[in-house]
Amino acid sequence: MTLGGYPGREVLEFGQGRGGSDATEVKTLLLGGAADEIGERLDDAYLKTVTEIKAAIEQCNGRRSMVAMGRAASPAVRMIKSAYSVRLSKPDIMLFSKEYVGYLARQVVKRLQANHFIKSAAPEKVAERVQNCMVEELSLEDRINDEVRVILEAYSDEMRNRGANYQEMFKKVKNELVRKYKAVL
Amino acid sequence: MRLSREKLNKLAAVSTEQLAGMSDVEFLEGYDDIRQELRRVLEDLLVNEEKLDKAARQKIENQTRIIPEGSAEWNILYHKYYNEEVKKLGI
Repeated sequence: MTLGGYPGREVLEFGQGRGGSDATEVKTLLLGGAADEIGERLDDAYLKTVTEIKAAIEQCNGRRSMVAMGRAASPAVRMIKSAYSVRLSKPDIMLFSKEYVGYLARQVVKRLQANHFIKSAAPEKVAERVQNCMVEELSLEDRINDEVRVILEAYSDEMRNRGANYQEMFKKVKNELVRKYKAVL
Repeated sequence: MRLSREKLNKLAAVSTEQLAGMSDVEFLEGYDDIRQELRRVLEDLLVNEEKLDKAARQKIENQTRIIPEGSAEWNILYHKYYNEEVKKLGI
């Protein structure tokens, strides 16, 4: 399970490992980065959860000792895990941000029009649809990775019993899915 | 550029297909010409995108202590600095 691309446990360990003197920096990173990212990715219905996550992280960063910090961080991480388990409906982290893909789409439509390759009375609407199709294509690898994780999760007991290597299995299953979907990564 | 040649071609192909399927878009040139032009425009834009990536990486390298690439902290900082660079484009 990841938190916007960062494993939840890593976020916790990162927060715990920094110690009290760096608490402000941790707070800035967690509140300004991870929590906001969750906020952007969650539907409105989950905004309350995000507020709770922020409050819990703030509480955790106010502590001085690492033990206290870890203890205080636990509810935040539980909430992050719970929020993340709703499987955010929007695409996962791509190579480029969604804002940048929007910029790409607008520029593409603008330049195609300016160079007389296409003509449209509604370039903004066209750019929006091009953006959606670009996001879809650029997030394909993330969706395949998610599917691989789900498959491996279903076989986790069997893999453990046979001593299979997770990374190797991940690679194999991913290659299978790439072939199946004729994906270009 | 951070996209492979194949991925760039694919992106241009799906975008052209999308444009072709829209009733409010009129093609003034042939399908393949538009696809190739779209690919050229994307390539041009994505070469500049590399600068955003480099700037974000540079900001992390400029930190007083070493932050290993791929660590949670590196990822968080990278996304933060990358988005700052994106905002500079006026997006």
